Amino acid sequence: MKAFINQMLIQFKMDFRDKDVVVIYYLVPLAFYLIMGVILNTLSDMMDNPFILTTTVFAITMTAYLGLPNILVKIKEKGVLKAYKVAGIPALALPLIQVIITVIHILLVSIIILLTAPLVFKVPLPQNIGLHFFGVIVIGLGSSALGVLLSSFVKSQSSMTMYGQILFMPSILFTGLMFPAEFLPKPLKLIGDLFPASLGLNMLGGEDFQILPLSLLILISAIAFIISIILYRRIVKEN
Amino acid sequence: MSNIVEINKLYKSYGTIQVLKDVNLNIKEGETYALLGVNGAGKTTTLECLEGIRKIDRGNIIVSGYDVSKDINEVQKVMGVQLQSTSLPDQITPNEAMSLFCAWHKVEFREDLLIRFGMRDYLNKSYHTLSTGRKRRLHLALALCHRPKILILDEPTAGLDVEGRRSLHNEIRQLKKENVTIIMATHDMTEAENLCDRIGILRDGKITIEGTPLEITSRSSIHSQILIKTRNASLFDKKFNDTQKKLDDGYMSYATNDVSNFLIKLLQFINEANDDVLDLRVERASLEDIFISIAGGEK
Repeated sequence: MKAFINQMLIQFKMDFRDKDVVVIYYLVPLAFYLIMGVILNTLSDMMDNPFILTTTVFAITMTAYLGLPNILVKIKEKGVLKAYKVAGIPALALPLIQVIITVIHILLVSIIILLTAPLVFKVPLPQNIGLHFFGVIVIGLGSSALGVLLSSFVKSQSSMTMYGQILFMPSILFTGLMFPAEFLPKPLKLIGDLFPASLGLNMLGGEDFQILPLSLLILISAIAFIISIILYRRIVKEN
Repeated sequence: MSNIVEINKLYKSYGTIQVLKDVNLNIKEGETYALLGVNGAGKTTTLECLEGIRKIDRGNIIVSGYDVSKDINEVQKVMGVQLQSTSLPDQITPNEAMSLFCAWHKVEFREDLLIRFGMRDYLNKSYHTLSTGRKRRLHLALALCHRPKILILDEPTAGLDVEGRRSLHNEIRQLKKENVTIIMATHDMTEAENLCDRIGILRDGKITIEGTPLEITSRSSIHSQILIKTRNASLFDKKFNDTQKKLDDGYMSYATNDVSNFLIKLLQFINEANDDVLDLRVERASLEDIFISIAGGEK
């Protein structure tokens, strides 16, 4: 356990030294948050839009689909898993730690948004802050599960840039994150409904906390994590 | 001394390609052993089976009394590995990497190793900024963090410059003095000849020849060359044997695989001709010549 925590702390520090991670995990989501804040302020649409939630979900989507898989594919491609495996370091600890740290990064971004949005854009805080953070963790884990699953199929970083869009684009276009999902053709909306972003918005976006989207989110996450573990075990074995 | 590594009747294939066929290998504690072979001969596969990262098809591998297929955790406690192609995360520093490896091996932090392997000025530099030589040294330091009895090096000096190679050779010699058993795969004949107690040459998935460098070179069917120059050039007028060849600068060359007896007879022959030896050189077949003939490198 001590070694696991030590590795997690090292990984966390390393992430802040990695320009790509800082850009994808922090700068772009926070830039999106600021731009959206300015635009929605101009349109006076702020009060009707769960602004803090949507910008946080955007940050989660970007981090989990473009950031996390890229880091994992890089680790696979460079032979880090093999180096750890021969040293007796559990190679599966690496993706697991990366998922936990990604959720911590997501939480940090969500805290920044939560603390600044009411001051900068005069938007209301979520009614239940505890539930908001619980939701952020669940959506973060669900999205990360899909990100890890994607990374287990992709072999090179150059391909990952392309494949990341398979999850990222529908997640921002079909889920109601950029514009209301009701405007979408039904098949696209149905696809969007299965994404953690959409389930998260449904779970937290209404007046009451919704259990059904939470259950679906947990189910999707569990399935994605189980398949990922099986695939990563195979990758480690074959490496 | 007892065997610390025993490989018995090892078979390994990838799909339909049989890479190892009946590899048998015994290595004694404190010994430095080199596996030689052309690309694809099975050196890395043999080492990977030994490290426990490749599942074997048949046979068994015993390391320090533990069966690699069953007790890999125990094996990893006594074994350090430096892989041929390996890496660490770009942003990790040597200090962090050592901390990580030591924590998983449940040993105290080994800054001494980082200093010993020349990382003093690079302790907090990111891995991706280190030169190839420094990366190799860092991996070697990490492989030694838990004081293993056995060290496996796969092509340890590939891609290093002369200075990096020399420095790594010195470290390997030092480890040898510390009684660490070293098993390395290499393409570098000089490296194998200078550093290793014994050498095994892999060909077609089998160890075809094994022994000390001297045993291998003297056992070979490739003849040694004898170059001789005499004062009166008496050998130019008479034929001593069929391998006799006239060279430039007044030298005569002969080929033999029984150097001692050949020289006795040749010197007697020169003496009877009332001649004197000015220069005499014996050029044994090099390990490289033998390697090329055995491992099929000329193909």
